[in-house]
Amino acid sequence: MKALEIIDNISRWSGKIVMLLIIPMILVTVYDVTLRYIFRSPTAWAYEISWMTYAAFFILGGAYTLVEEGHISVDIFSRKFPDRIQLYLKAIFLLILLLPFVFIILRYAIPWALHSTMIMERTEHTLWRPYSFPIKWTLSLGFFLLALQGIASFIRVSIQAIKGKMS
Amino acid sequence: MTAELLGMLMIIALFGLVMLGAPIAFSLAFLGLLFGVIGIGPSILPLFINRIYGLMNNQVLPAIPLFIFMGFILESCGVTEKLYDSLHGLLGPIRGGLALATIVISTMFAACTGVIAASLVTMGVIGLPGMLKRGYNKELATGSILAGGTLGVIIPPSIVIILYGTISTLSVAKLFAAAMIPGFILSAIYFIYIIIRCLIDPNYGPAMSAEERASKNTIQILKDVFIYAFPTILLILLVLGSIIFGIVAITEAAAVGAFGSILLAVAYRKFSWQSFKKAALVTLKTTSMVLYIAIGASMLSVTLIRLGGTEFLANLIVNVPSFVPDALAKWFMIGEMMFIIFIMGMFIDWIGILFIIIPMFTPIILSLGFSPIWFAVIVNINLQMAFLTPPFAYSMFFLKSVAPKEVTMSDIYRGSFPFVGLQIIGLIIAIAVPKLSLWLPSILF
Repeated sequence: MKALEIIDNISRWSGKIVMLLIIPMILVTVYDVTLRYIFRSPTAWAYEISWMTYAAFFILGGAYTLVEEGHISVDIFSRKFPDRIQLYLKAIFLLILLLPFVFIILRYAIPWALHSTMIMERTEHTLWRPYSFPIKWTLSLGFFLLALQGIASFIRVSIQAIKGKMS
Repeated sequence: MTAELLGMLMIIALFGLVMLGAPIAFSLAFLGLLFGVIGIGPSILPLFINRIYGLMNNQVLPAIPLFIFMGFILESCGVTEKLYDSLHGLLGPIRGGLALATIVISTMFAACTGVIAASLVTMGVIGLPGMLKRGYNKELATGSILAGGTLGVIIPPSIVIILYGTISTLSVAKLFAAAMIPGFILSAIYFIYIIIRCLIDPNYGPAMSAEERASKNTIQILKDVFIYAFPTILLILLVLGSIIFGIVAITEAAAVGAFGSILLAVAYRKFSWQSFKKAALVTLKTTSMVLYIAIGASMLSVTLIRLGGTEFLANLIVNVPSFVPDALAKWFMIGEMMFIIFIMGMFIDWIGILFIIIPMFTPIILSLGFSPIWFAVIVNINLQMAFLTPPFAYSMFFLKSVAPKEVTMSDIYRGSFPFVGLQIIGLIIAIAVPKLSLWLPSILF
């Protein structure tokens, strides 16, 4: 299935891009601390950039974590089930637990981000007051990627379950 | 059907799903949604968006990826291997020396990183084969690695404590200070246990042979300790010191620590794009795993609170049975709470536990006149056991995944039992002597 591979690759690449956010996360704060303690003139923007990069980092990392099987579960009982049952269970969990969750969150997160965009909302933490809609859209983007990977994983596991063999 | 009953049903369904092997994060989120819509109605749904945004727009939580990254970068420097060799040289002549070295290094690594996986896996890869080769008892070998690894839960900068502070709105810096002494006491308890165990039965951890001892060069060992331990310890002291003395915020200290770890890696000539990429990707995976569980757990906890489930459970705890004398009632309640956490720790992960128990227990603790800081410390000691008590025992999975083939899961189970016992002793000490937790914060803040 070509389409499934494409989605897997999108998720893997999203991880390789999102991981780079660790660099600004470190440097922005180190720069700010240096300015504050050595030159006594902190930046106005470091705090906001710091939490926003962190938020984008973990939200956008959800799909990568799913494709790399990083969302943990307890398998000491299910490991003993026959392979086919394990695959069916996996497919069912993706279908009834993950997909409703991501779609309901998307259903509410998109209008929420849209509203923020319409009123050109700004954050209230600092005098810099950046627009808050980009980070609000990030939530939808992260869940969209997670939904995409969730669907791809569900289809793959279902096919394996029906054919009756582990990949 | 009453709302409380729905709440209880939700918890039971959670245990059921987790036991069937469902991903924890999605089980929590789904049950929060389902029971929220059934019990309260669709009006609860926008609240979930608020909760998720609360985890994003947060002052303290950015410290989590930064501390995780710092740990993995330090790990890639090979400091652990070098120190393990050196400490083996120093402690080898003593019985159980390698197990003792494991505890010392794990304690140090617990202070470098917030996650337990990093140090546990390294000790499993380098420590375990070394101990088995020298005829150490399998249970002592696996137990010391497991117990040392879980010290990361209590010794700052623990991400468990960071999340506890965030949920309970207590100061993370104060919690770090409070957890420091109990953390080192636990480490000392493990150390003493290993010494006594090996004195009683020398076969548990044979001392280094004379030939092997002769092959070690003491000056070289001391030089290695200086080159590898000293800069790392300095970095840790800098990071933790600046948090505890309130010089910088947690997130700032974490960023400086991560930056410092890169400088160290460069100095040791171990820094490369490959090692950076590897550390960044593991950090991404670990952070997303933790925070997606946090998303699910906070959704479940909103629903549980809205349904009145937390009050219902709190009432169960507060209604002490009549055979308990009044003077002991409040200690009985502490016992009940600790027992609940211990049992939950067998089945779900620590993030889920924190989101469920903090809103439930904190009001009880305050009304009984206990310090919430002290309570946080004893909860964290208790949570260490959650990593070691099957069926859901993180640490054991990690160790099994890297252990040599001859080490079976049941060796690992049996290895953990005595150390869980020691953790219970540590827990009782911390409960009985609140000063151990409260003294350091009282002089610092």
